[in-house]
Amino acid sequence: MSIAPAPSERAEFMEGVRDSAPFVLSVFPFGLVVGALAIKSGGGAVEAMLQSVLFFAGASQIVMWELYGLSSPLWVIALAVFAVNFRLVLYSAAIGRKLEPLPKRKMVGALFLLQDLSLAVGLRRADEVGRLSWGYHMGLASVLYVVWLAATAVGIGFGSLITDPKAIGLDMLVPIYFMLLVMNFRTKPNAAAICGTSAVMCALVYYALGSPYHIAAGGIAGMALAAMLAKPTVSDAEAADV
Amino acid sequence: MFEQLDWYLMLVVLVGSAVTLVNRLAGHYILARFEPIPYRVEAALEAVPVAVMTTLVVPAAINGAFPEWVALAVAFVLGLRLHFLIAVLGGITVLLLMRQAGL
Repeated sequence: MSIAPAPSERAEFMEGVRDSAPFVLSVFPFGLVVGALAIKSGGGAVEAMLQSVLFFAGASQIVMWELYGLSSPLWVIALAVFAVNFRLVLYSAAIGRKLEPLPKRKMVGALFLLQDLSLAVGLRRADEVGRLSWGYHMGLASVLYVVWLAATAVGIGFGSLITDPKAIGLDMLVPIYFMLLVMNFRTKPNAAAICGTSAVMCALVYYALGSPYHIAAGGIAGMALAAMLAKPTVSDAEAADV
Repeated sequence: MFEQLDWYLMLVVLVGSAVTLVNRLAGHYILARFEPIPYRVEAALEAVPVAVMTTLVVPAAINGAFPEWVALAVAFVLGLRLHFLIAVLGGITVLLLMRQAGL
């Protein structure tokens, strides 16, 4: 137990704000795309803004608009959003442990603002300083949230000005964006095999059944391959020995 | 832009955000209580971003023609070394140039 008092929540919050700076530039364009895509897919400004306020999860927001644009049934959209955001379950398990102990209200607030960047920066902070305070996480995550909302609003404005999405390449912006996101995971175990399996299954189902079944089919195929190729971790092996 | 609210779309947004919130809370309040997670389940969950996001790229490659393929290829090569944003801009720039040229 440390005798020194923990740094004040306010100072921690400001450190989180400071550390968010390098990521503002990667959040903003993504928000622009989401806002513009929402309008292009037939959404209104209010619904598009509300989505960013409540989701704060760009990849799933894009998927929602793509499927909504294809007139997919509600359950398919819900399932797709759930699948794309499933990584948040793992993020939440990982970061909740670092933030504990916290009153429930503060924990729920922290988890609501959790996404890819705040997870990565938060875990790094916990490594460096030995702890992750609520203040630091909230400082970092709130800046990203505000930037996200501002970018969505600008995107909505642009979206209603765009008459021909092809003329500015908006139709390819989303696929390129996701391809690059996938590439960010290339150092993960079996990433290339998982990606290839998903792509092949996705293409087959896309030809055979059409959209939106290709999303679930590719996703499940990739996950199944990952499960088949997985090797027990050291702690699993030790647990099995006992 | 601010015409009559679309109530079905509002429902879609609310259901989607509820599902997302469940994901965010379930990890800490449910999954973290059931450790250790079987390693095959963990590997499958970790594969979700790659497995799912790939399916959002494939249709564009299937439906695309030469300019779209080149745009993806350029973004891929730039993405191996350079910042994310440069790769996006590079791919889109090449795409627009090729469309302008009528390829």
